[in-house]
Parts: sequence; structure tokens; C-alpha cells
Amino acid sequence: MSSTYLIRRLFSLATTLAVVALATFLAFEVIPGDPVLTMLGPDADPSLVAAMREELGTDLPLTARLANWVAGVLTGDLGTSIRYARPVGSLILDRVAVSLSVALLAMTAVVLVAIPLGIALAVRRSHWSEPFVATIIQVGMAIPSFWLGIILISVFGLSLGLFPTGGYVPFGAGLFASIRSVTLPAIAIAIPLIAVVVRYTRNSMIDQFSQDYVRTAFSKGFPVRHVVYRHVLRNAALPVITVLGMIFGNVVVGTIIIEQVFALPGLGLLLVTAVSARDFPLIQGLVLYITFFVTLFNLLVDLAYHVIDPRVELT
Amino acid sequence: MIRLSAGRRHPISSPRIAVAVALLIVGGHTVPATGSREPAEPAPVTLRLAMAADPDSLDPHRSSASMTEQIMLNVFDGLLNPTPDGGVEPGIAESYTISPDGLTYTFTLRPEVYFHSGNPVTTEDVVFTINRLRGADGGPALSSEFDDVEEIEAPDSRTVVIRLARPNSSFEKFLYRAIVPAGYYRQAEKPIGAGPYRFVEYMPQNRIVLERFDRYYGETGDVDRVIVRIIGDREARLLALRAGELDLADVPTDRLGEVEGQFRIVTALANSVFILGMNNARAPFNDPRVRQAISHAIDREEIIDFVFDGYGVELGSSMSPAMPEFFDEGLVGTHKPDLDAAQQLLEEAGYPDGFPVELRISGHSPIYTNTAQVIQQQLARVGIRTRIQVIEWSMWLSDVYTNRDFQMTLIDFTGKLDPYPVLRRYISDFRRNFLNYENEAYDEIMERALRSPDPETRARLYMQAQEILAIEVPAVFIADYQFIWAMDGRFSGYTPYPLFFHDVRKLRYAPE
Amino acid sequence: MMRSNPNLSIGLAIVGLLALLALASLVYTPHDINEMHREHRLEGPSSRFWLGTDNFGRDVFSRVMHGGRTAFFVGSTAVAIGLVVGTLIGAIAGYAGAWVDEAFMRVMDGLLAFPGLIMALMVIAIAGPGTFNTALAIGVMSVPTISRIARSGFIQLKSMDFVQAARTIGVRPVAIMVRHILPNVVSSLVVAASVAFAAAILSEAGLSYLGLGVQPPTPSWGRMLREAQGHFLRSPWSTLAPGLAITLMVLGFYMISNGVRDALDVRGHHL
Repeated sequence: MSSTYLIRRLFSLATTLAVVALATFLAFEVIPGDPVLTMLGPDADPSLVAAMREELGTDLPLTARLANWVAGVLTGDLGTSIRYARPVGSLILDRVAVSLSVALLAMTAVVLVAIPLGIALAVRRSHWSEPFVATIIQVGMAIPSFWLGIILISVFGLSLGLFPTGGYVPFGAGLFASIRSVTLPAIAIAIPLIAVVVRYTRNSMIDQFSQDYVRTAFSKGFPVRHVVYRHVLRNAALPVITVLGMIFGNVVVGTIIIEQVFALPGLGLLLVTAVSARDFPLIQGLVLYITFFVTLFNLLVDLAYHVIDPRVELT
Repeated sequence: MIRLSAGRRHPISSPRIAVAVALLIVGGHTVPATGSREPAEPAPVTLRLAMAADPDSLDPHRSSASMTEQIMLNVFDGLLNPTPDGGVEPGIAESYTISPDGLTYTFTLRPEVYFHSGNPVTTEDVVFTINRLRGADGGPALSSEFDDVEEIEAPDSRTVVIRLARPNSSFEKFLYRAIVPAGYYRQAEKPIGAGPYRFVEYMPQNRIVLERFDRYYGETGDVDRVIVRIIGDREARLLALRAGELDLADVPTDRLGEVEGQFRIVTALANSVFILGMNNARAPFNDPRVRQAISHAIDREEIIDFVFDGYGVELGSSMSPAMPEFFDEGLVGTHKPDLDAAQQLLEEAGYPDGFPVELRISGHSPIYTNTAQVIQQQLARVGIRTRIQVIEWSMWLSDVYTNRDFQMTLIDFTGKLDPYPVLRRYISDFRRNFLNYENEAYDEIMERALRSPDPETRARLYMQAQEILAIEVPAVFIADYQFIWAMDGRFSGYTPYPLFFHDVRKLRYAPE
Repeated sequence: MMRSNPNLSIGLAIVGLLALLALASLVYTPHDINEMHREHRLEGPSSRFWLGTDNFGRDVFSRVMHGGRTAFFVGSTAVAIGLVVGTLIGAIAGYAGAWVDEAFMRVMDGLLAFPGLIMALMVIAIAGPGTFNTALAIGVMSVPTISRIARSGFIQLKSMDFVQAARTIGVRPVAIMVRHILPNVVSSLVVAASVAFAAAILSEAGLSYLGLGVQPPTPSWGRMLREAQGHFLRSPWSTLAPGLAITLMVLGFYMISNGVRDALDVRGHHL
């Protein structure tokens, strides 16, 4: 892999971050709402409003605020949240654990269920079951995950009492309880994704089966097992990895609606709160973080491509 | 001694040992951690309750959200403290006198009152607090409630004298504001007060923990530890309550059936005034007949049924019956649901076929979206075609409430201990008179009420003011709804206040 | 290719049925969608209210029918915006290449990573809340994906012999793009569009669920879900009906997209 490629990609990552950060800044020039008014509500004392505006510098012009923020970011300081009066960095870090544990659990389920299933469906194809499987997969993809979440809460949380109905238990309070608290949301996220990945895995495998090299291998009498595991899997992995990478990049930064449904204090919920509180430093920090991870995962996917199949050109 | 099953250990962080022996019989979630030969420690009683939003600030002087007050009033005491019937009683001040001209307030401090830091509360702290609030400590003023204070002094170690520039009949009710330690400016991070519970920790969007303060001067109740879980979604709060993860939570009226029997139910009027606000400066609402027509077209009872499932009372003016001293029942029903009367008033005003109108509401509470849909149907009966526009709460605060850019809106104003701040919203030049209501007679009555030292005159004037509002309808006063709290059966003694306050000190605990 | 295509036919049947219901709601619903029945709140299915009633005693079936109209409107508007803008950007970036491509694609990357929530808020702040503006926000969010698909098609095709040939005889770039390349990219854009339609319906449901989408009392499946969520135990029907409607609609469009792909795919073995 050429280092110029890597440098170019990192440069474009930085550009994307800058574009998004600036866009966010400008977006809230257009979107009405004032952090101090929102925090203090309709009964806010005028003296208090004035005192806090002065203190927070929300009255400064855009360029001054932007300059302050950029200077801060470059020195590793994301600023202080208006709503929570705490450093933005530590607020985000606190939430990463929540979103990350949901993401990891969901992704584990996706990988463990979807990939073997996809392979099995590709290797053993039968004409009678195919429309059936196809329908299940497509239904799985079509279910809105937040609706699934509502049903899961009602059935497994409320009626059966197997899982908490919402909220997050940190690792410190017991690993089991912690995993239990993120199980239902992870399932709600995983089911549509499993459907997607099964489909990708299967289709990608079948694409390989129709390639000349596989046909040749079969015709020369190589055992199926050997062909599948030595050659097909390796080549079929590419599109699957792409999809997994993109999914993970999206899940790891928090899922707004699922976190809302399950009252999970993750990054998604923090973003919703930050936006509705017009907590500009927190919004900027979160957007930066989210963009960074989504873009980073796309980059990693491309690099993985190259590692798995060096023939893939990095352009 | 109590035998414990190994699986039910909970650490005790409070070193309290001398809790009443009656509490030794443990139940449910509060189980001592010891299983050894040492004498059993009494189980600390933990109250787990829910709060719908993060506190706006833990600093009592920088907070104005009623949600925050609901919890933090446990941490702070004022010179005076609120009472359940809407009055004030001596707190850090053991007694006080008000001069006949209403200008001089003299407080005698209670001896042996301590802050959670361990330091005694002195006159210096009281003077510091008042000066901080009114911006006389070098910082900006944090409250305009203390604008009328001319001078504050401490003639001796137990006396504080506050002199006002002019009489202010509301001033007494402002004195429940928290007294804080002099020179301590880190309240927002670690609040220190002199209330019955001390602050332990706060994790944003997660929880607040309080613990009983052993050196509190007054009586404290059975609860040793308070865990306030911050759960924004009301559905999630209810689910957590039903799953046994909470001891006290609000219950939406339509869900009462799910918790009745299983929990102790406390209902109380919210002391709020829920209004359909109209922009009095804009046509057609600048014509009182149009506003009266709308008031006739609105069926308050139907709204209470649909939105609050019957748990609410109709209002006729800007005052809740939770303030019995100032509530005039005769004003309820000033404009009864009457489509003919509404139609006729609209015709007189020149709108025989009604008009289109935009109802801009905040989407942060289902109360608004639900009521808006009912009102849309009701107004359609007299030809008023309502378009509902739901915007975010912060957009509502800036566009509707501050910039007054709206035709009609819905808002629920939370109650105060004093009628003045409730009725002040309609004074012509009040900066939060976002309905643009103007009436000189009203302004004058309100000013007289504020400056009148005589309680009876004052009450009479406030009644007069309400009557003007009832007839002129700057807003349709819809209802005050009831709060429904569901509490675990082991707790009792919940005492509602006309302001947001979970008075934990008054709770009693009896294991099943 | 005329062999049997179950995906396409089932997909078209589902979407067709939902479209029929939505169209029917223009002329007839069993009840007025906004009529409230105080005595019939949160009731189960009955002969009078086929899918029961919501918390205002409104007929859920009628509202699901009308919700279909909202869904089709939002879906087609969003896809139209996404297709036109996305194809245009993809075509220019792909055909022009070099720094133009780079610049467009960086912006698209940014847009892809930009939180949809803030995007939706921005559109609402500028254009006001409402059904069309919800569609607009969703359409803008679908631009990066569609532009990427269009771009890769254009990159692939511009080096093909027939394009090179057209270029050497002096055909103008716009003509080449429209007449020679676009027809060959259409098939993949059709697939992308039906996927985008499904995604738009999910996004609308999500935004309306967060209270940022379609305005009350206009029925939208997402809003209905939000309003009914609190009553799930008392009246599961009011949650199930809009949830199922969303699932069916999305399923229908997924099946169509797969069907179209099958029809264009020689190997024809994909699920």
C-alpha cells in the first residue's frame, strides 16, 4: 500500500471533518433557539439570563465563536457544555461506553448469525426453500427497528420481565446486569442488519461460485469444502466486509431512535439533548466525533479490501 | 440480627448506624451488606425516584426550572421555607417581623444550623446570599426578585435586617431562596446547602444522589438516601416504575389503571395554568369579541377528558384552585361552551365564516400536541380553521415566547407561591407578556396589589385582576391538571406542595 | 426477460395494494380521519372500527389508509429530489473526474456523515415544518448515496469505446452524458431509487417518531406509532397497525428493487 495513498485519504478525512464542522456551525446560525433561554425555560429571571449570556459568550459574533472553537479543538479542548457545565470531551467519553456496548453486542450477533447463515444458504441451495428464505430476509430488513424495540420491550421487558425495560447499567455495577441492559436494544438493532448481511454473504458467495476459477476447481474434482473455504470465502469476504464496516461505523456512533425508545444514555440520545438544548459546544463535539468515526470506518474498510485482496487497487 | 442471602448484597456508603431499630426488618431492595458476626447495621432506606430532565443548574441561584427545584429544595433551606398550603414558615430564620410600612424585614437566625460542609450558618452567609442574588457582591444580579432590596445588614450575630426601597408584598414569598455559604462559588459542581439532604453526586442523563444530612436542625424522615434517576421519556419512567426499578414516579393519567393497586397513588393539582394563548396585538385577536368567541367555542371539559382523562379542573382565569386564598370559583364558566354565542360574537366582529389560524406549539410534551388536535376540532365547529404547527421547545422559546411571532399557541405555566408572578404575565409592559395584552386598569390594579402591605386588600385586588382577565380573555384559560404520583406502598406521607417539590423529609417508610 | 420473477410480482402486489388503499382514501375512508369519539377511545378491532381506535377514539384503519398517502407522497418526493440532484452530481463528478470529482465527493462524504437530525432541523428552520419539507429533508439525505451510484456508472462508462468514439467525433459532453451514458446507468438508478423509497419511508417514520416530521393531525405511520406507543399494553392494535404498514411498504419496495435487479441480472440467482 502506498503511503501517498494513505496520506491522501487522511487528508480527505480531515477535509470532510472541516466541512462538516463548518456546516454544523452555519446550520445553527439558521436554526433558531438560544441555549440560555432553553435551559432556564419560560420562568427565567431576566437578570439571570443576562448574567449567563455574558458568562457563556453566546452573544459573541459567529467568527469569534468559530475561531475560539477551532483554536480549542486544535489544542485538544472541545470546550465546555452549556447544558451540563462539564467538559464536552468527558461527556462524550462517558457515553461512548453505552453506545459501544450496544454496538459490539449487536455486531457480534450479526457476525455470528448472519455469516454462517449466509454461507449455508449459498452452499445448500434448494429451489423449494429459496422464495421462503428470500421473503424472511426481506421482511427482516423491512421491519423498522424502533417498532421492533417497542414490541421487544413490551414482550420481554414488561410481560415476561426477562430484561429491564430501559436504561443502562454500567460495567462497574456488574457485567451480567450491564449486558442484560443492552440486550434488547442490541437485538432490535441486529435483526434488520442480520437480514442485510445474510443477503450480502449469500449473494457474494454465489457470485464466486459462478466464477470460472470455481467452476474449473469443481470440474477438476476438488472437494466442495476445499473450494469453499480456500477460495470462495476469501473472495466473497470483500463485499461482506464493506457492509459490516459501514454498519459498524453507523452503529458505533449511537442510534438516536433506539436510544430514545430504550432510554439509553448513549451518544445518540446525547446528540438529541444537545440539539434541543442548543448546547453548541456539545453539538460541535458530537458531530465531530460522529463524522470522524463514520469516515474512519469507511477508510478502514477500504484498507481491509486491500489487505484481503492485494489486487484491489487503492485509488 | 438479620440473616442474609448471599445474592442480595448492597454496599452501604452511609455510615449511619443509629437508625431506628424498627427499620431492621428489611424489605425489597434495601438490604444491609453485612453477613458477618458484627452487629447488623440498620438497612439504609433508599428512595428511588424519577426526574424527567437534567437539572438546569445545581446552583440554586442559577436554576429556574421547576424540575430542578423539585429535587434540590431538599438540599437547600431558605430564611423561610415553603409550606404545603402555599405559605412560608420559618426556616433558617427562627422568627421574623415585617414593619407596618412593609419596608423593613427583621430576621432572627436559628442557632445551631449547619451547612453540609459542617460550618454553621451565620448572618454573613445570609447577607452574602442576598447580595449575590441582587448583584451586590461584585457579580451580575442573578434574580430580579431582589431588585427592591435597598440595604441588608447584620446588626448582631443572630439578626439580619433587610430594607426595601418600596413595599413589595411578594417579597416574603421570595425568601425561600436557598441560603448558601459565603464565598463559595462552586455550587454548580458541588452544591452545599443547609437543607435536610446533602448532595452526593450527579451524573448527567443518569442520576443524582442525595444523602440525609445528620446535622439538619429540623426533623428528618425515614429516607436515608435518595437516588434520582433522570429518565426523559415518560414511557420509560412508567416502565421502570412497573418493573420495580423506582419507588416514586409520575404516571400519565391514562396509564393510572396499570399501577393502581400495586402502588400508593397521590394526586394533587399542579398549580399550573394551562392556556390557549392568542396574540392580542394581531388581528383578529385584537378584537376581544373574537377572543370571547373562541373561549365559548372551547369545551374545556372535553379537553380535560381527552388529554388528562378527567384529571383536571376547569379554569376561568389565570389562577389555580391550588391557591385557595386567591382563587375565585365564580369565574369558572365565564364563557361556557356555547356555539351559538361564539357564532354571534364572530359575526359581530366581522368573521361570520370564521378565519384560518395557525396554532404554533412546542412538541416537547404530548399535552400540547394532544390538546391542539382537540382544539382544532372544537374551533372547526365555528368555522375557525386551525393549522397546527409543531416546533421544537427551543424554537418555541425564541420565536413564540421571546419574539412573539405567532397567532395562537398553547403553554402551561407552572405555579408560584405568590399570585403576583402568576398574574404579572398580563401586565402591559412586562417583558414576558408575550400575548401582547394591554389594559391600563389591569396594570394599575396589579401595581396596587404589589405595593399593598395589607393582605386582605391585596387578595381583593388580585381577585379583581383575575376578573378582568376572565372577561377580556387575553388567553383561553383551559385547566389546571392533576399530577399523579405512584409511590411504592412501603413509603407513605407524600406531601404535595403548590410548587414542584418532592419533600423527602416528610416521607415515612414501613417495610411490608 | 420474461421468466417468472416472484420478487417483482409480490413486491408490486404489496405496493399496489397499499397504493390502492392510499388512493381510495382520497374519496372514501370508513370514518373521518380526524373525527374523535370520546366514548370509543383505544378500542380493539370491531365491525365499526376495523383496526380499533386511537387515544382520541379516531378510526385507526382510516388513519392507516390516509397514512399511506403521506408515505407515498414523502417517498416519491424524496426519491425525486434524491434522483435528480444525486444523478446530476454523480454525472458531473464521474464524467469530469479530477478535482471536480474530488470536491463533489468530499462534500458528499460530509453530507453522508452529517447527522440527519440536524439536517432535518435545518430544513424545518428554513422552510418550516410540514409534510413536503420532511420529504425535502429526506431527499437531501439520500443525495450522497445516489450520487455515488451514478458516479461509478459514469466513471465506468466514460472509458467505453462507444463513448470515446462519440467524443472523438465531437459530440458535446452534455449530449454524451444524457444520450449515451445515462441510458446505461438507468437500471442501477432504478434499483437505487426503490431502495431509497424504502429508506425514505423508514426515515419519515423515524423523524415523525421524534416529532420532527409530518404535522398533526395529518396521519403518518411514524406519528401514529409514536402516539400509540404509550398505549401498547392497553391497545396493542394501535401500535401494530402502523408498524405493520411501514414494514409492508418497505418490504414491497425492497422486493421490487430485487425483482428489477433479477430481471436485469443474467445470472438471476440473487435473493
